[in-house]
Amino acid sequence: MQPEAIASGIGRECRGLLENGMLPIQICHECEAKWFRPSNFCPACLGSDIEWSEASGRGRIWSKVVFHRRPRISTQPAGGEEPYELIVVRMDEDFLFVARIAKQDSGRATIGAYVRIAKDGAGLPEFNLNSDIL
Amino acid sequence: LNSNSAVRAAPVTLSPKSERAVHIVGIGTSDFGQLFPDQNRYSTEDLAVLAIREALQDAGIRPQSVDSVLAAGLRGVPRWLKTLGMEEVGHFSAQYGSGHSSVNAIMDAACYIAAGASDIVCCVFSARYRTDRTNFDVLGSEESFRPWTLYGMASPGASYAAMWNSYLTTYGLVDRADELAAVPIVQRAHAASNPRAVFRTPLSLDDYAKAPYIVEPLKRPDYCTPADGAVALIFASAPRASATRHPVSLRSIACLCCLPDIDFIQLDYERGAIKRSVAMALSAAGISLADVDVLQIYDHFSPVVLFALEGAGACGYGEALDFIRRGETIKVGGPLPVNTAGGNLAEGYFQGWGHVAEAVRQVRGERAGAGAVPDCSVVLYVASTGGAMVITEV
Repeated sequence: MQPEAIASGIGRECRGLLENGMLPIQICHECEAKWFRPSNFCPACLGSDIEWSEASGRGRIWSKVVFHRRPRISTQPAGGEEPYELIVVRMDEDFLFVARIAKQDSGRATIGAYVRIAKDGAGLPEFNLNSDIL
Repeated sequence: LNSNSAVRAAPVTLSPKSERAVHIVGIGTSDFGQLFPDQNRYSTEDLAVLAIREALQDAGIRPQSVDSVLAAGLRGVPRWLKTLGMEEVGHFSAQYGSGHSSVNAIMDAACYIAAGASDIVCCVFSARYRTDRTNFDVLGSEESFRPWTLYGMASPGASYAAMWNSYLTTYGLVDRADELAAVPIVQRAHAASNPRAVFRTPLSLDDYAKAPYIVEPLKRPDYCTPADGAVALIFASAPRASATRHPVSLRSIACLCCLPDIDFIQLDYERGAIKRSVAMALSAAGISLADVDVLQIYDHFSPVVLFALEGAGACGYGEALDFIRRGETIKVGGPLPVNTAGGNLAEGYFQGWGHVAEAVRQVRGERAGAGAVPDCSVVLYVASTGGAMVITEV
């Protein structure tokens, strides 16, 4: 099964935004809550008057892993060829996001480092080290 | 972001007593090791029949005496009940066969008996993970798109690798990462004396060092072993249990379902959910962790054993590597033996059901060989994402 086959509705919208380089969050117009995991309902008030917004893109590396074996999915993951490294980032809005770190930063991407979403690449967002804070 | 996270539900807890006490009177399993090497000829339903047949024989109970059947991991019309002579069973319930399934189904069974609705309940779990090449990787579904899968973050093992790496960094233990090897090494040693375990050969430190990474920092021996097999448990009310050969007591059970934001990743390494459910199960049983002779921990990946030891209160947060002393503490003969049948890592991955069967064997004192814990009277089972139960002598 390919990821394309499974993203419909709200998932397809989220995927489309990600593929345009944006890290989408949702906001609720009924209670002002903001969240990340794509949903048709506000997780705070269950309201459905919701809209896409953009996360700050800033956070700190919470963990990182190196895939030596690819998960059994049919498409080439955007992590790259194995072994590929992914970082788990605790975003400033306090949700976790997993993505790759830009190649030039991968050696210095230690747990605890500040990162931000790169804006200049096409396709899925990736993280750069945030040198404003370093 | 999510304001719901501040609201904590209490674990759902049951501690049936006296007239309404709940006993485990029969256990049965398929032979996990024998079924492992080749495509096995048994269907998932056949495996369930094998396990139930053995559990009924173990209890000395006729199939027609069972009034409720709870089946985890089995779908469709349960024609296999007819094979067992149970076609007129009073109540049948099919349940999802997840890691929660043992705690969930056993809670249901205990409630039926404690409420007086049932006298004898059969719970069964069955799966053919190996023959069917079950894919545990997580892609998401139409209901819940998982954005991180686009990057290849799509396996439960990767989530535990991330938690373990975060844990090591948080507690300044990066240079001691290889001490994790003690968990699979001890469990493989325990499985060696379990005649039905998948892996009955020892794992050495050198084997572990040479083992390939799957998702670094986790290596192949840190992963559970999906296999083919079934586990059946027969529960009975106190009056009916007294006529059986070797009843043990389900003293208390606590259920808690904690779903994380990103697949399996919990910022607290699941310890909070474990802490809350263990506290409820122990206090409902009127005991403390010091009274526990054997700890059975749901171990889909080896770091979970360390997280669960901390959650259960065996040691403080960040102290599990110190506590296990390279395995000395958690092996049979140590002060707190863990996963004495080999667990999901070595006995085979049966979603925690094998752990409960082993708990019964240890309390009965019928576990043979090097895995036997002398004078075992209290076993605590801990499910990693929440849920715990206490099994004791009657």
